[in-house]
Amino acid sequence: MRFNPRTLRGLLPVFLTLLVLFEAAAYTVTTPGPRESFFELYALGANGLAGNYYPSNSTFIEPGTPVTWYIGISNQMGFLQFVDIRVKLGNQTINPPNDTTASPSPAPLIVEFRRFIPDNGTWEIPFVWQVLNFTTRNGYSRILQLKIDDITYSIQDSPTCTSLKSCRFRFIFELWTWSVSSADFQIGWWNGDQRRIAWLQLWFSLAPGAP
Amino acid sequence: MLLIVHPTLVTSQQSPPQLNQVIQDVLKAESAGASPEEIGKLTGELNSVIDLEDQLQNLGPQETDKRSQLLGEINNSLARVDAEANQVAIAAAQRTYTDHLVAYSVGFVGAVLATFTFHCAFSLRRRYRAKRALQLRIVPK
Repeated sequence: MRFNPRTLRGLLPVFLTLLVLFEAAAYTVTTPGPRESFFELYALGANGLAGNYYPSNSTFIEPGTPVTWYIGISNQMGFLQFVDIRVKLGNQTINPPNDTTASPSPAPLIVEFRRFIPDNGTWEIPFVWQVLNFTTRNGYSRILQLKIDDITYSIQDSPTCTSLKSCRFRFIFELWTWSVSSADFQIGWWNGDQRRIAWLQLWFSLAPGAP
Repeated sequence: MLLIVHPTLVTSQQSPPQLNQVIQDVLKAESAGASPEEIGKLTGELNSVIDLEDQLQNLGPQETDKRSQLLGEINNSLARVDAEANQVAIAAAQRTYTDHLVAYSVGFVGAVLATFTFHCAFSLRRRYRAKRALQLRIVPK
């Protein structure tokens, strides 16, 4: 088959059109498409299922009774993340994290768990805790000592309640992520120009001697 | 059983500034196109550094020897991960460049072949129509 200049001139627009189509296909194959970036934060009970969160299925916890939860984080951000789960102890009146202003809870920080999670990776933290000591003084009750994963934490300025039986405490789990620009952890993460936060809370009441 | 009584509330753990640089280099490697296996290996090593930092935080104030040993291990690990991340970034960038070059070359070759096929098909059709025209008979009605 021979190609004369006239034929070549005629084929040039066809070739250029096909070239654009084929290179567009190559670009699509080599360039990852946009995807929604987010974290999943969840809590599971003692069996690693969404249930059986409390011994005897009662939120009234006796001091010295161990409670097992699993806190999980799934990274769907598209790249490696350095995350920090901050565990705080609150009562009924202390403010939880604010989703609108993306601000953390003012509740006292008890412990934090840090981990690098690759994209599409999941990390589950066994969270075994028990109340070791509490006090009731001047009409106010407060938790003095908590044991979390075999480490004992003495808590100063812990939230107080006027009546132990009617008071509900809660663990607040806040997700913080590492910001490379500020070289520190920030609550939540940036999704485009929007700041998002993720947090959980699990309630319990203290029942000395009564389930 | 490890028993530690904190006299005050736990304050937020501070990571050494070197860690931020290492994280940046690992992220660079990832954006350069490092495979999930390569990133997984670097992630595992970074988590080992975090475990060492947690051990450091749980040390008592009198355990100075252990403290300096752990600090040395942390710095060595960070330096090693940083060097690995830089190597992975270079290799991944070259691999990504080659992949892109191959993809766009395949696109070019595909366009040439498609044009040639189009030309052949068009020529065959023209010949067939010319042949059919020559075979036509004029039949009076």
